[in-house]
Amino acid sequence: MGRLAKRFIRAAAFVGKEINEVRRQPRLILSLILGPFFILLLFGIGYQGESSTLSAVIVVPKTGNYSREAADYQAMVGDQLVIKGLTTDEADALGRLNRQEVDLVVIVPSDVAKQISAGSQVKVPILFNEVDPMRNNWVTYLTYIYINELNKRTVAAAAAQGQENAGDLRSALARMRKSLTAIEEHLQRGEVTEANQQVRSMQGSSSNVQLAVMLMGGLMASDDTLISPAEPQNPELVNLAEGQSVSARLGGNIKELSDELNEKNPDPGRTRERLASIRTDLDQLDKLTQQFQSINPLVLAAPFYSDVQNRAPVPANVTAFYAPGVLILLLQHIAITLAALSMVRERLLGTVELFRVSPVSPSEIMLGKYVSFTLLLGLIAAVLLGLMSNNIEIGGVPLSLGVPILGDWVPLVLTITLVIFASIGLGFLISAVSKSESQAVQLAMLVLLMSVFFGGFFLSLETLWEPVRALSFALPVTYGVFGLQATMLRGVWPADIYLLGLLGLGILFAALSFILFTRQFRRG
Amino acid sequence: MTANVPPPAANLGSTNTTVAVAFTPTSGPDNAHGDLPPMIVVKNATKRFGEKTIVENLSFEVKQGEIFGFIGPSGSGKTSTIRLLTGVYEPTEGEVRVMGAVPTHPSRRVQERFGYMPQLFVLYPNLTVRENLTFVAGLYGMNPFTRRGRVNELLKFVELWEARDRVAANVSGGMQRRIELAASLLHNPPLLFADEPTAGIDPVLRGKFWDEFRRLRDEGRTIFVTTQYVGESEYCDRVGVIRKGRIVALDTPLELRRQALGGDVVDFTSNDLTAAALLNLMSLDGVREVRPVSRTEARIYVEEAAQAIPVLLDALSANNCTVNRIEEYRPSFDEVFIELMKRDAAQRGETGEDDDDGPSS
Repeated sequence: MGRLAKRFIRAAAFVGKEINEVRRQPRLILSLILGPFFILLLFGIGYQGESSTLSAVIVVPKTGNYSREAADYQAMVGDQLVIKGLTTDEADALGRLNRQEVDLVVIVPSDVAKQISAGSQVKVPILFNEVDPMRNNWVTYLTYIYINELNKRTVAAAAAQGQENAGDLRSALARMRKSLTAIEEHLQRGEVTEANQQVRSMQGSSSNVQLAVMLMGGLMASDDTLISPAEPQNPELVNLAEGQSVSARLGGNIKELSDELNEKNPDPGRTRERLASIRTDLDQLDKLTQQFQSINPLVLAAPFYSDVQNRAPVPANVTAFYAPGVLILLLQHIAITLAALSMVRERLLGTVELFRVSPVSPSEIMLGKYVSFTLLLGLIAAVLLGLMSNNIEIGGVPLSLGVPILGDWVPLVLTITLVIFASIGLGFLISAVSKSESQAVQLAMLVLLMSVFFGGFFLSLETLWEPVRALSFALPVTYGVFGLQATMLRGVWPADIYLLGLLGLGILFAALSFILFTRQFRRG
Repeated sequence: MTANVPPPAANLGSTNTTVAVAFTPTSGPDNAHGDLPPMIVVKNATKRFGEKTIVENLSFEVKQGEIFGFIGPSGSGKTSTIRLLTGVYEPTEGEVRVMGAVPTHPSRRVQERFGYMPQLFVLYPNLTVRENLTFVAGLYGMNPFTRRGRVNELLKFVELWEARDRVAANVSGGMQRRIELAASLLHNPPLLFADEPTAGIDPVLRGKFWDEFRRLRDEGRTIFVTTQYVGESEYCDRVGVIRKGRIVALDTPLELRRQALGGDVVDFTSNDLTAAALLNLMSLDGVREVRPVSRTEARIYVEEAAQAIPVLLDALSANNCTVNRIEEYRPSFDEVFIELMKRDAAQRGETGEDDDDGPSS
């Protein structure tokens, strides 16, 4: 038989041996395949993907016109914050916070109107007692949202007040229209002096109207915002700025009418012209005021809203997003543990001594183990993918996660195979530096822990300090997670860097473990 | 591919299984060929780990077709010597050659020509007996299409056919030793290293193992076997006695006995025994020592018992001693080894009581 054939037979001996060893341990098969799947399933069923609700106590001032009903505050804050009660005793509320009976204490300021009138912002103290940085961020974010909401409602209330005041403006305009009719009647009767008196009365009203229109226009002004809209939300209805020029023109027309009437012989034609212009201006202003009143105060308070569209091929879903990562993490861990334990066991059993005196070489041993573990893990990956991606239900109980696989099978298989290849190499490397099974398991667990923290799927890699991020790229899981997410969730080939990275790591681990294993194998 | 050798009468197997050999067979128990190049040559080999010397200045040769026993107490360096011979250890000094090759840098061809039966069970407890043997056959690159038949042959040969599908963890220690023996013979090697093959197994099975080794020897194979059972020396063609890493004696079992006792021993009884008669015996040629045992018994140390007995009878008769019984005394190998150990300890200036374990009988 040829040398090459014998090499193949020797390597194949390990394939058969490893597969038989696993086959002889049904519990191991159970824990290798069903264990990871149930972890995935529990994760999919159990993970809500929603932030927890917070409980709060509201401290209201002892005096003042404040609601004393928790329901009023609850209606304002929505579901994320549960109002546990109202109190006027700040110390009692803080005591509850210190005892962690509630998450937040919100202290309502006592002299809101006074502070706003004085031109200063009103501070709303919100206290919490949190050591969890994630919850700390969540509370901070939530309170920011609530204060924004509070500000918006305040502005909306002010706008509503402005709309109410616009009713006074319309009354003033009606009075002016009445005066205009009186002027016309006086002029028809030739009562110029009486008509002039009415014009002066109109001049006073015109000043007030100009002021009111200016205030309305200020509410609508968009120049102070960060983003100038390309066009207003409804230009027909909202363009109250035009009202300012109309009111200014009205003032001018009234003055010109007054000047005309003060002439010795007022020109009846010009006077009629002025009167007609004033009526037109009054009609325009009345129409604009009416339009202003019809606008939703919340639109005045928050004229912009975002229109967000997710262009990803699958809807963002916590289970679908994490499933590829968890699968890769499990495959990496099983591969590392199997490979590390296998080599350590050979040493502890004493079989290495048998190998040394037999014609088998370290490369044949490693090749045989690579092939057997790749086959075994490939089978596990196939079963897990099948269970993950189908919609299997028994009696209404979901037995799969329905994770989509949008991409081609080729990049999927390639990514998984490369992850397995690199992970087995890492396992061999661990075995080369481990003196016992427990040491190998400990190191495998450390790699698992590192993968969870630095693998980039629970914590974004961007959140890591760059030198530490280098560690992420020494782990097969990092490349595998991104590669598999791209294939499964986006339906595209993984970026070359992920596949080449895995290949590079695999070759590096294989070379290092081969050198160390050969040294140990031949050491006399 | 091979010549079939008929099984010996005392076969391990209950069936008439034959085991094929793939080398030129020699015949008979005295087939250790001086004219053939030795299978093993060791010259001044020393192995040290750091400051600790494991074996020192070993020199011996093992001829083709002989059972070479390596006997010594536990910790004396038997396994280390086997590891030097199989290439697991590299000698710190000296030279080791097995089938002409340096074992630490052997060609695969050489490695395929010797079998190794380790001291402990080193195969896989989770695999069945057959799976273990199939795996070892694979290690030696045996053709997958023909190896099944060979595995079956050896399963029957070592009486494990009935247990072939039991996992190795569930068979007895004796069965595990037989799995190891079968594994070491799978590739039909002309040279077998067996490290304490009979340790921890019952006397009946031990006897079968030795029957088998002698049968393999009769087929022309060379067997290098270590043991701490002194009584097993007599099954060997030649014996090396090792103590504290050094060979203290090396010869055939018979010669070892002579070495240990300084020659042959003759015991006699006579009711007329006198001091004068004993003094007279001392002066005879070939008599080295005379030790009175009782008033009627004495032990004579001579160079050659067969030649000495007629001379002794004549001398005693001349001194009016009527001899009731005279015979050559054959001490047990336990006594021989104790004597050899004591002598080595004396040479090294030791008490001889600090061996890890005395050899077992």
